[in-house]
Amino acid sequence: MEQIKIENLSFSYPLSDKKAIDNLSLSIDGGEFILLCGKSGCGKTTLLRQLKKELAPHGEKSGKIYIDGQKSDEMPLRESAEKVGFVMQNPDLQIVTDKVWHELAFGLENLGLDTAEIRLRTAEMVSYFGINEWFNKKTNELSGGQKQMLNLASVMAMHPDILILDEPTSQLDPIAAENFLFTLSKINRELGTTVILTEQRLEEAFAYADRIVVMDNGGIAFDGTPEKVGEKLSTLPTFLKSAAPTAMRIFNRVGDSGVCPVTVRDGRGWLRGKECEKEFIFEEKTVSEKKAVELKDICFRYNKNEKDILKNLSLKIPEKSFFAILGGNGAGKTTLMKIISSLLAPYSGKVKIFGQKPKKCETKIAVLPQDVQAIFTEKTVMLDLKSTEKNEEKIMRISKQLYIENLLNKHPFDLSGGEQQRAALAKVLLCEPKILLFDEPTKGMDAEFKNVFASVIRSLVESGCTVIMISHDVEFCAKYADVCAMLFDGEISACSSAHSFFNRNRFYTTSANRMTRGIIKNVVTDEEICLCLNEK
Amino acid sequence: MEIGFKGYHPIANLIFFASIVVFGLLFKHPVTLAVCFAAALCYYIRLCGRKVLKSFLLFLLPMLLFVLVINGLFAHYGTTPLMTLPDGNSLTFESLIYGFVLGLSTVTIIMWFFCYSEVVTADKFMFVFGRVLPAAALVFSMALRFIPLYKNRLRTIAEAQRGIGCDYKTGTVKQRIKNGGKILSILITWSLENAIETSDSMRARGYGLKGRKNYGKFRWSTKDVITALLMILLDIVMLVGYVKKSVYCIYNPYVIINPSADFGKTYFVNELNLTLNPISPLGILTLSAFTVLCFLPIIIDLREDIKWNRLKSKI
Repeated sequence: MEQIKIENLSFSYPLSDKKAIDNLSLSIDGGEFILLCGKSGCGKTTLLRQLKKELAPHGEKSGKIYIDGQKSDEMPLRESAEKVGFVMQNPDLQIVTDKVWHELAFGLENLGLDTAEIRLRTAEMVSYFGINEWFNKKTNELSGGQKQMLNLASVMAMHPDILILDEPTSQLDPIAAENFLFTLSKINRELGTTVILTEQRLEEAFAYADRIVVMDNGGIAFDGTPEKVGEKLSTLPTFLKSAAPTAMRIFNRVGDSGVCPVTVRDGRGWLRGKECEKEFIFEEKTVSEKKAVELKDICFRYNKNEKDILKNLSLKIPEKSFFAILGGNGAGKTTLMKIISSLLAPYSGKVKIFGQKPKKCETKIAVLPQDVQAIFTEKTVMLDLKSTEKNEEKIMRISKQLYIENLLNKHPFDLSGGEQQRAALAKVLLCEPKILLFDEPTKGMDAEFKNVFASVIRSLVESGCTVIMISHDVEFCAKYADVCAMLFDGEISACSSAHSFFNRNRFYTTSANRMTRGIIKNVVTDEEICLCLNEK
Repeated sequence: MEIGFKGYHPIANLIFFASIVVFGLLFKHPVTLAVCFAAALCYYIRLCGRKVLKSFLLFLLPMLLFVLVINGLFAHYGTTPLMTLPDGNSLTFESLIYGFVLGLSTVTIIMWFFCYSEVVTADKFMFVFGRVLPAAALVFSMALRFIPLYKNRLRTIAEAQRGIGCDYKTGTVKQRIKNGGKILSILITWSLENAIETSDSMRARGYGLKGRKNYGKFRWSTKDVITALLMILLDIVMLVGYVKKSVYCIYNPYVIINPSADFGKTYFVNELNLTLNPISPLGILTLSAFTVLCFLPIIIDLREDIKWNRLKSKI
């Protein structure tokens, strides 16, 4: 049955000539799991917000939206609050109260339900979402994954028929993200709740969705099953070629026909039926012998009575290389980064930057933090950049390189997430660092900009800068990093060139590697599979 | 689940502390003072354990002595001089006694407040507060949520700024102030920007609809009701006792304990101008009620402990 019907919807923001949504029609049946994808700024969020009356942005709107046969603008607020659940990107900002139990009850309090009903519903949510262990905790003691799960649970407590999620996993680590998506599909299967989801990380989401809607320039470019996306990939907007799941990308690049594989499992089946090289011959890149950063037997803890975060950690980071540090949540990655950038000092062990002690060292080390908003100080991007570097020529050169020339007169906080990241990167680059540290830079980046970002890093490394990156993003590190190190339980448990690092791992590795394990040896990235397939 | 009196309904907890503070301050009788002090100390030890010794020696005892000395040295009421002070005034028996009474009741009340903060947690306070002022209670809860969040954010910003060379810890004073100001300005802009998303999240979940209710996770059980009723009964007895002046005492211009009566024997200590009247039956009742009230949480806790031990020994 048709649950949501959008007819010829157009929408433009005030003071903007461009239509954010352009004559879009779409109908969604009850119980569907829809993945809405498109590159950042294509109107996904605008469309999602139109479905929820309270959140609909101001602007010029034409066309109609029906929810269960009722016009969405005429829907009473109470019904809209109950019927349509909305989960946003940032887990932290959606939490309103200080206690987990209170957060779960918040929506129900607003609806004016009586105490017994609220008690029952929160109890149900707690057991369905496995919140038992942290039910009595304070909300600021939770991890990012738990916070987002709490947001989902407190929306689900209101018993919505439709669940809308706007990039809910973009701020989570891969394991928490996977867990979140799994819970979503469980809700969809077990309760029949309609799910409309937007995502950057398509690899996992594709496996759960029934239907993929691809948006481009405010309209719908494609609408169909995941397999169909694979078959038509070459005709779809370009961003999908880098964002689609690995199996699908390779299927498409090789130019095969037939049923397109979606998951790694499908991909393996498809690959077995192909003729290809049995081994990929890989030439190791050489890295400089000189070390930019040397850590020896570092021990660190935040408080005297706590246990060590870093335990006798030793690490050598070669000069002029792109070095990636991977590891799970709470492994000490961020702490390690603060020690390298001498924001923190270890209680034992030695840190050397280009062979010198960090205090004596003149070398510039710059850090791009995870929350890039933290580094903007001025009213416009231009003024902000000027506050670090007076030379306008230099500013213009870097702006060009990072595609922010047309953003220079905007307020940094008015930019979208990806644009903010670029502006922040420009500011950091103006410091002309010799060593540049990134904390999870690819979080929330769309696949297309990741390529741009990688090329910026490449050119930095070529110009003599050492780039160190902390990341959860296995695919990105495999594709672009020179050396990878795995941080586990306060120690470096493995450190080698990116290719052999991922080739040796079995679980913590790229999809391409998992897809080819036992079929083609020594493969880590998409390109390598394609090379092996094409040569035959 | 909390054990003993701590696990009781927040309103029962509050009735207890309100009664203790009110009657602890109204009664100045030596017996009430002693009982109240002993009960407070016992319960404080029960709740906080060994920590109490330190706070007692370092904070409470000096406090008591301080009040005693200050009152003795600077208050010169009373009619019984004990000695002459260097400034020509005399140190009186009454001012010393009253200083002791004042010091002891201050220390006792402080100890009850320590107990209060252990027993009535923020959760419980919010529950009671939310009944009276629901909107303010929500704001309070949000403040408790956002203060740590902003603190965290401030640290993030400070570190990020240091990461690009704007350090508020080094450089000239002018530069440091400038960099510190920048950090605050980012915090404000960033937080205002983020507040939009939080308010979206609130509206999406129906905030602003008519008929918002406050949910509390506490429930009345039989023992809560019985305890609350018992406390109210004790309060009434004590109130009657207070109004009828059955445990009346004065410390100025001379010390009189208990109101004068036409029964029993009255003792005088002439050298100290001290009068000790016999106590009336109502006075005895009032004092007993006060004693029961003071020791109520300890009785409840001990009863539970004994029950536990008995159960344990059966296993």
